[in-house]
Amino acid sequence: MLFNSFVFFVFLAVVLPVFYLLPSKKTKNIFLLASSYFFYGYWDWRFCSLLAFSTVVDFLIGQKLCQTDCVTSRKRLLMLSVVANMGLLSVFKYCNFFIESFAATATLFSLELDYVHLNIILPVGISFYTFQTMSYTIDVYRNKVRPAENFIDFALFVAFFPQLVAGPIERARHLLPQLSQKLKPSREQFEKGIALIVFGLFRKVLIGDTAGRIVDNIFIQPDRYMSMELICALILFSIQIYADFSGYSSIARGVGRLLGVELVRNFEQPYLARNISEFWQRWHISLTSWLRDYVYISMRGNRSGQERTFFNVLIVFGLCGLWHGAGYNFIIWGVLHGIMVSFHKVMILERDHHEDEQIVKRFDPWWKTGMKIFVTYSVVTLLWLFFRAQDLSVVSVFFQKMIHWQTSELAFRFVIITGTFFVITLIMDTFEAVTGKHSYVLLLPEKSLAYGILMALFVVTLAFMFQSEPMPFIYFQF
Amino acid sequence: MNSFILMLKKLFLFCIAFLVTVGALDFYLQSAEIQFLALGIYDEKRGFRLMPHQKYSFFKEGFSISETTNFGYYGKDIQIDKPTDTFRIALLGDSYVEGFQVFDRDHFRSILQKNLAESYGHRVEVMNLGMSGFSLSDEYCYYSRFVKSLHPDLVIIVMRQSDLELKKKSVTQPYCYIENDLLKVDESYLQSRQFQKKVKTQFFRGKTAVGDIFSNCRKLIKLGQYKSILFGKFANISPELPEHKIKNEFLVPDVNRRILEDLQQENVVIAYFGEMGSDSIAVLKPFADHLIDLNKPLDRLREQNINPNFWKATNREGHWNHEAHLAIGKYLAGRINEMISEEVLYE
Repeated sequence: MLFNSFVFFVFLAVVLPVFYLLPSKKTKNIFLLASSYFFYGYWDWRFCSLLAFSTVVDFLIGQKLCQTDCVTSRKRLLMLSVVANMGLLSVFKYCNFFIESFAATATLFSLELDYVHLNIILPVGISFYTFQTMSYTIDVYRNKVRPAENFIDFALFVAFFPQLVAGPIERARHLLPQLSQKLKPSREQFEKGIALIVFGLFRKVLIGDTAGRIVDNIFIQPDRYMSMELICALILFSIQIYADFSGYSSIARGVGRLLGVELVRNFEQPYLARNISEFWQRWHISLTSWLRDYVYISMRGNRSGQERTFFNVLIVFGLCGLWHGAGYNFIIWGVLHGIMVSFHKVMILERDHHEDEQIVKRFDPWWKTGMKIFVTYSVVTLLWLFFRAQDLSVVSVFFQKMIHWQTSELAFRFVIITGTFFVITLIMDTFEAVTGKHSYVLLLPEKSLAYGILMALFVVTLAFMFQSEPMPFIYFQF
Repeated sequence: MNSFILMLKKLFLFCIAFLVTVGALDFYLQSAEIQFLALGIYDEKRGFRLMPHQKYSFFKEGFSISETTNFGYYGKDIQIDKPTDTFRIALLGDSYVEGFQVFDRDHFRSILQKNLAESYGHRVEVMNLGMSGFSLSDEYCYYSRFVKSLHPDLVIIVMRQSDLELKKKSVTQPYCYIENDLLKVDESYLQSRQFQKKVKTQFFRGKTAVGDIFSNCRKLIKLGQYKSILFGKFANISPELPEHKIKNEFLVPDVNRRILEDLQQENVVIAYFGEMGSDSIAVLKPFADHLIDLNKPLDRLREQNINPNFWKATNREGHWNHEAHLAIGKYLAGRINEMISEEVLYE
């Protein structure tokens, strides 16, 4: 069920009143669990079994971990959880990629292998919920969280429908305690929830999807388009992927609030970052922190010397790329980000080294901050090319057209369109950054003004949705 | 009393905020060219047509960004007076000729013009006068009332069998009929109340993106499509479409036979595509050397496993895609070139 479809709002219109009317914590959680499975099964009910499998395995392993102090047994249990979850991911997401890569490698050694391309459908959101359940088991193993005592609460932690298919990837220590209590949203939570849903829907439908229509058409046949049109398509993709994913996260957080649950923030104006490391502290925060806590730190992070640190950074970003999709373009995108982050770390080390010799300005003038933001955004946008390109030939066409410039009579129109998308995104992000709130409209002194703005945004967005086909969220495929 | 005034004040602020936001959204939607604005207006001479010099972006199975011409068509501006030393071709047809799905530079109009200019040596001007939803009857009315005034050296009518079906009388369009064995163009639409009303209110058309969005919603509700939109899988998604009349059983109506007979006297080339019944083929036969079968380039694409109607970006079928436009443009150029060299066009 897509958040940007009417059927989701019909679903919500049924779920919310029933949820509010239910008297006890137990009935509320059972109802939410059933609703979450219905939500997930709407695509394909067979995939509910995968969700249930992951839930049961990690719940039982969590219980067992609690019952034993034997280090070897605990390690084995942890490995069992990792193998089970990564096994699911490997089969459903990476199987064909591994087979094809193996066959391609064999061809390099003049070995012709007959291989079968398996017709496997990628279950929606599998990367999100497997990472979420794994984080629970690792935290229990590390004694950072107590194992869940109630199976319903744990099953709801895994399947909680607002964040089930595209995050944010929640941690047990944050979400489980909330689900262990009777959920009852406050008036403030309700208001903020509505504002987040409206802003999220606006971002997704009227920024992300509409920019995406141009992007999809240009990226499928880039050789048909002129140089400036390609540059605009790349900028539009940077806007599309941000509006799409942050829009989803915003709706997820908003729906969570309507149910009395606080979900973590997943985006903090990433395109206003002043360097690449800061970008990753603001982009898909729940995944970045997951990789930091469970992969980077497990590899000893930056505690084994400079070279090992850079190696670890490259591994983590390579995995980050692979998490996004089973394709070489994603791995290249991840590794390139890893190189940029490592490069930035070197620059910081250099600066710190010279700190005694010259005065380092901690607070930059506005123009310098602006330049840093611009350079960071340009690098991030350029790297999106590897992420979006179906194969490296698309990247090659882009670079060729940049070198052999082709003029277009439509260049000005493309620039105006791209500029409009850019400005609306910038305005929304600036409001968020200045106020520090994602539901900033509620800070207006007169609530009626806020309600008027939200109502207008909601009505126009819904009307636009009604007359156009819904586009799936980009991150569903991950 | 105080609480009542307070409530009124809140309501007033709510309405102000609502309207200002809608206005701002409209500006955004237009500036980012998100909504395809209603382009159609009503003209006393031509009936329904597109607004001149209107910028638009089109998103359906394909995508294009363009601006309508001075006469309200897709392509380059047209001068009434034909420049000297210019061979002028008028393309007539339905949405396949209109071709909103591709940029003008990829449209078969441009490819035909470029290829002919290269081989012919003279200046060649190909005008795209295609209009979505047009049938042979509409094209004939257009031809006799407007296209002739542009003095084309050649008219290419692109059609398929459905264009030969009988056109219902429209209250906003001229239409053809036979009276006393004579082919006539009915102009009673000019007096119809609907037409007058549309002419009077057309000032508002294409002015607000938000208005167009709501207008589209109203149309979809009228068509009964709201169930599948609102309830997704749970609604009976789309009613089964009635099966098309078996192609071979189709008989060309008398009025269209007469139109085709009339067109034989003019410098008109018929380019047809799609499945044609035996009667349709029979009525087109007299065009002989002026008849072009567009299925040939399209079938050649199919032999290369290229579906001329499939759009990769949107993963669905629809009008001709880029490959089809290229193939048709080149094929038409070849055929027209043959006609020119064999002087078939000047007989």
